[in-house]
Amino acid sequence: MNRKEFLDELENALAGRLTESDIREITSDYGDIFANGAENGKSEEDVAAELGSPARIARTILEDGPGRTGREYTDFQKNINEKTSKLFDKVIEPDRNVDVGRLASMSRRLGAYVIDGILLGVIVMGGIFALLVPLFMYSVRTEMTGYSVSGIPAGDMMIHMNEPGYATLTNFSITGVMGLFLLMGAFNFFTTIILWATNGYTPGKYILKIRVVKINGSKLSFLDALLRELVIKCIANSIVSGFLNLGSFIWGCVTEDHKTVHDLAAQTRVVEWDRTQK
Amino acid sequence: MDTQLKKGVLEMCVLIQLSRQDMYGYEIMKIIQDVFPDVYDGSIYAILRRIRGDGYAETYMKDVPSGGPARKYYRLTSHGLEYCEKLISEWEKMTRSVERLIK
Repeated sequence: MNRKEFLDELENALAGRLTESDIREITSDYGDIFANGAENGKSEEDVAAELGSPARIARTILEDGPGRTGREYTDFQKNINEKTSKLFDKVIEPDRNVDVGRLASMSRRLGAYVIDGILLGVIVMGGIFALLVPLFMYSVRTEMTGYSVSGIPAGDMMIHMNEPGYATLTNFSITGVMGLFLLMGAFNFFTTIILWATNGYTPGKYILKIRVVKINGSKLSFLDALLRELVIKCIANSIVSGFLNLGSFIWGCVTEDHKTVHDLAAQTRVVEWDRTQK
Repeated sequence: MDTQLKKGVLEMCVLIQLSRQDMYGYEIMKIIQDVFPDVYDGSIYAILRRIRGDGYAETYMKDVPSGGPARKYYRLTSHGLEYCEKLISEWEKMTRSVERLIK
């Protein structure tokens, strides 16, 4: 194999995998090796034989990545990498200080839920209303002028309800339902984040001295919190029109270890927790 | 030798050479191959591309006094010098620790 054949083969093996300029640089480097060989009295064939197969060289280059192996991360990037790798890490040491036997009563858990609902509900609802009011105003204005957005007199709306394009009233109720979903979603999203960030508390639980832990007493991972709060309490509950959480509460009351559906799913339990304990 | 370890060590060796004077690829390769005979040509060039890609070195073309095609010389940047010093001090720290375990 001569110099040209070698470089062509190498170029073909890299084409499309690296940028044009990277490939040009690599072939020029290997061209150098041939030139240096010639200076030392080696033939092109000798150099090519020493270098080995271009396909293998190309593979090594590609495995090396786009020249970024020696890269250094900033502290911020390191911090983010560490956080994200911990995010999905489910293997956490059990916390020996947590007495998993001291189960919280269902009345306390309900109390915490009500407190959270009031506290977070006020915050979330404020946000949602800020979004909905302009929408509502818009719809009222179109009704008052007698024309809907589509330009059809509002009075005709009921007649045209079943026809496509005239369902402004239905749109409004859809907005309402979506708002409700948004409200619940936002509420449970908040509790997910808070539960995870504080290792098992929500404001209500903190006030009533109870805490969510894994069944072995360890802290919740982000996925546990997400499964418990968002997937089960919000999404699954919405699918069965809110009966899941009600049933879950009743089930928790009558069973011995107060296991609700979201506890079963996320393998968690709620325990009494003296805040002075570390 | 373990390839990851080797890669890191070779990178440090190349940086050390360049911290002393500007060199072109073949020159560096010869020096490295004197010490590590089993290192193949392509890997040195791969290291040179990498340290350039990471901004530790820059290249410039220089004519050969005896004629022939211009050569691509590598020069360490200040960032590269810093990195080289850091690698050396880490290396010394590490070898001291390992030596203590061997003895």
